[in-house]
Amino acid sequence: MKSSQRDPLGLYMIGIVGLFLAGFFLLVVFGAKSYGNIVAAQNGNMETRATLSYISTSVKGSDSAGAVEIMDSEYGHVLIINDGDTGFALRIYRCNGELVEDFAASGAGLSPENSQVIGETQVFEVERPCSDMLIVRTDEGRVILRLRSEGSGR
Amino acid sequence: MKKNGHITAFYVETLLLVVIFVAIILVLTNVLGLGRRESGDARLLTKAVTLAENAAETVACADSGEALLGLLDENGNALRKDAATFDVRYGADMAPDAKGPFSVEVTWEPEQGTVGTLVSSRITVRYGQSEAPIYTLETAVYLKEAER
Repeated sequence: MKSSQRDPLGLYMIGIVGLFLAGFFLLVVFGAKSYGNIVAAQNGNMETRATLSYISTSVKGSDSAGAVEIMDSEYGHVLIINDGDTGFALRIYRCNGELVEDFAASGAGLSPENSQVIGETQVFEVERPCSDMLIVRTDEGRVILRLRSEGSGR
Repeated sequence: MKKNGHITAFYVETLLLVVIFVAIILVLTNVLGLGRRESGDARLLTKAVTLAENAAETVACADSGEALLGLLDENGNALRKDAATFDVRYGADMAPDAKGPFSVEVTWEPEQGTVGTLVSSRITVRYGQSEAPIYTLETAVYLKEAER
């Protein structure tokens, strides 16, 4: 007889457990979403640095007269950075949605199979509006570089 | 009497537990929210640094204030604020955009030397309506007599 009656303590317990479960569930969902956003932003920052800063560093590291050239190829624009007088050059270009680089003899054909991946990009455009200015565009934005070696010597 | 006392103690304990649980959830939510905000700020800062670096390189390429304005301007995104200050606008994707949220303020302050001119430039990047700068960079370029 007594067991058929509603026990307020039992309902209270169920309510508390339900509240705890709902709280944990919301916390896990919110936490997972926040973590996903943080990782996405971190990857975005890394991509930006990897593509734009890497190109900038490569160009500035070999900024000697006539070292930087732009070539059109079957892969689109190719940024050629000659390694001094060694007869070799670093070539940066886009292949299969990836920005790649290879190091080979100047004038040799491009070899994407021997290249290293810098990052992912759907766009790679190199422009030289004046002799001492280089503009490189990728998915992550663009980087402007002043070629000190091509300037007026200031 | 004894049973009622036990039940009251149980209610008090569970209420206390709920309060502690809610407090923990609030703290964790704040921590996660802070992480999210910081991550967004880091993204903005990375873009601001890239835009400031680009502006600094453009300053290095210019030999006069007019030339700088010409080099900075793409699709009408650069304005002259005063004689020595330019405001350049970029979109959230860092593409030139006259109505974009990124504002890059570039100054051109020549200082006459004995054989040339030292031009100092302060580059300040802001985002949206906020007046607080995200990133500030100072650079300088030396112009020989013939270049002025």
